[in-house]
Amino acid sequence: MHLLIDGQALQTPSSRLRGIGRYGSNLLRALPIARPNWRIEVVQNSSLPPIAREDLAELPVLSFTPPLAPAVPHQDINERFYADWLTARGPDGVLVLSPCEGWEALVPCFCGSRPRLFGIAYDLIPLLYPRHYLNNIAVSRWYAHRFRQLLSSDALLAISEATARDVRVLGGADAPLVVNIAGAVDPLFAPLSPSEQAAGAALVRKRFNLDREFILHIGALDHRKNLLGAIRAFAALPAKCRAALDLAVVCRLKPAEKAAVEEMARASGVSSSVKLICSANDQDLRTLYATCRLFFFPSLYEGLGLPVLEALHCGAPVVTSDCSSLPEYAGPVSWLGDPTSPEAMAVVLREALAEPRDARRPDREAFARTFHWNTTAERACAVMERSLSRFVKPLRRRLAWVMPMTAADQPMLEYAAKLLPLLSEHFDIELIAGYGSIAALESLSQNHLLLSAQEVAARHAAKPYDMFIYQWSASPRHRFMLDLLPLFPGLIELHDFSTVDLDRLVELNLLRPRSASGEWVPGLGLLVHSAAAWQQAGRVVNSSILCLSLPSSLLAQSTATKATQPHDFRHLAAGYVRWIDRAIDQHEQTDGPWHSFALQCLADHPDMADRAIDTWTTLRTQGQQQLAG
Amino acid sequence: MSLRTDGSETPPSAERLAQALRSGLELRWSIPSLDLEASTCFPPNANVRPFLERHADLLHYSLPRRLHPLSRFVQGIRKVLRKFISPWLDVQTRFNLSAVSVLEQIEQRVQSLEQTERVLRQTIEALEKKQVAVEQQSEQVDEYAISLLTREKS
Repeated sequence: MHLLIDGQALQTPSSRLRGIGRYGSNLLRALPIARPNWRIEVVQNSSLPPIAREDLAELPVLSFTPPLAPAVPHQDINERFYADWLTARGPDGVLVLSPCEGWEALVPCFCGSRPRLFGIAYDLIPLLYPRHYLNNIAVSRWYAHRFRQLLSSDALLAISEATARDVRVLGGADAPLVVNIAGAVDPLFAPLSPSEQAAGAALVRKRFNLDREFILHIGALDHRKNLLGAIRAFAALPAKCRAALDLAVVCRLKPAEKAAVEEMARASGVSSSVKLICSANDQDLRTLYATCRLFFFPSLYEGLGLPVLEALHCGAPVVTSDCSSLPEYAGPVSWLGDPTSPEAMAVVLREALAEPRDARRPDREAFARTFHWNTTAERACAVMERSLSRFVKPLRRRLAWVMPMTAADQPMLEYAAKLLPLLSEHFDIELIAGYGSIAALESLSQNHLLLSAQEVAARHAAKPYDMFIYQWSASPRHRFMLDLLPLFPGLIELHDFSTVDLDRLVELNLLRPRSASGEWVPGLGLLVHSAAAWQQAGRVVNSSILCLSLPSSLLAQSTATKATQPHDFRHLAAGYVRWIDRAIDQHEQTDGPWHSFALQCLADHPDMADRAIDTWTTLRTQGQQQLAG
Repeated sequence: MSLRTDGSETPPSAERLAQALRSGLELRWSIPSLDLEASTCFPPNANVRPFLERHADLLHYSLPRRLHPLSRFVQGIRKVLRKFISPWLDVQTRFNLSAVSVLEQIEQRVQSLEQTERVLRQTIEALEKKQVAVEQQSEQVDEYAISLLTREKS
């Protein structure tokens, strides 16, 4: 098996120094041990700081250079290009270490055939606490994009059972196979020998001004870390119990944040007992775990909660929350409590303090040792192997039916209301309206999802349409289609034929002119409703033109006869189905939307567009051929 | 759900939000405000749903209870009255809730338009700067051409 691992989580400052970076580097080191016969390569983004050598475990590194400078407006093109670049390497699978990275990293956005895609699911915290993490429209859009990318994987490797459960619940019908592969502690956090413990304790106590016994808390000002809850729970301890104890808070803080935490401690009446430690390296942390009276971690939500496992591994008693993944990793050897109630947590703390520190130390260390990176890597490899042989069920084809839906477009709405129920027997259809007010018929709005033109891009990214159908007519209300067509190529139905419209579409390079041939255009085909129109259109454009006569009942309506004959529409619908099916088949072969996307994205860079698209096309063809082979 | 909430979030809301994000309809979901007081003030600051939603459902609106000698009689009257006006309240509630959704969509569209406007402004500024630079360059070229001409003449 040839596996490519996206290693950007080991490059970005937001992940490299956090739990994600630590988890990623340990898993990376364990994978070649679990499957020595696999060909594993790590991909790094050359626009980010390189991956540290010690994280790579001597795995070969491939460097990817984004075609455009890293910036939010270029994100789409860079991510699509990255996906094609990965496909062109011909791997059997791609493992993304962190599919929910920030904008600085690129998460591959595949289009068409692709290798099997795997991702690691750490948590879905922004979805669970939107008030704190998604209170901005730009952030919401970013997270929606990343969430959809996460769910587009063939299999997700969850770091805990709680995360796996959350992905299954919140991913709903779109959730792929999710398997808990668990995690383990970094080998750096090994228990200290008695002599090391004595020397380390003296050093750390002197360095951090910890003269008395202390309760250790690792946190941040992040809402879910519940730093305020930790201070309040400590303050809720009886004064007698607190008299001989300090609360050591290890936390990276800016000066303003430090002042805020000090204010929290003052407000809770424990300012003299709260000791802030703003600069502690891993070795310091290990000594702090080994020398603390107990480790206190009342987090509201953790995907894994590495500090709990690290503390247990170093032999410290642990008091933590009874929610999310923490009970899994704290095990039966720790004390659990409700993190939302400082009083309840104080009771649990008191119980834990009542027991001598080393009473159950061997049990704790033994429990922590049950988690091992080799086991995690073995599970991850097994999931990837299994999903390679999974059968993917084909889905019903999806259509986006683009039409204006104002009160002035009543005849067109009625036409759609009769035609679409028949087409719905073959396709899943959603309606895209213009920017103005919507006056859809009840039968249309009840049976189809109505979307505004603004919502199309996100919807298409979430649930891609197989084809766009533009119901065109000579009216200023149809101008919004001129914006949509270059972005989403599709078939054009000329409802009221006019050569002026055709000329306009040709001028805008949306339909191929009569003189040209072979050049790609977003108008993938044309439908007219009379032989005369068919002949006239043939004189103007060189695209494929189909003629389907309108039902006689509809023509009769113009002479005020309201008779409806469904069988006429059935005949028309059969023609539509053949036309759309054929277009989708051809469209998949030529990969129209991809080409259109590349052209659009590079429109701002005319100097490099031709060369970039040539390179990109070669890359993509190479990748698709490798997949087919 | 594995979530233990702190009172401000509920799992069903997370599921609704996840569904909106999954289906690409995130614009139809209201952006929550951290400031709880902001949702009660008028005019609602950048978030209409929390402000209006509490007034939208007339069907389940609980009438204030006061002790009165005739309280049992009054309660009976209320029950009967509620039974009669329920269909109308139902219609009104549906209308109110749909109005809230429409307002919310409009609000979000306005926000995204404002964002687009900001981007356009930035682009215009950048183009204006470029234009100034091009003008300066053309002036320099003119000066250079004039100097060449004068040199030739001399």
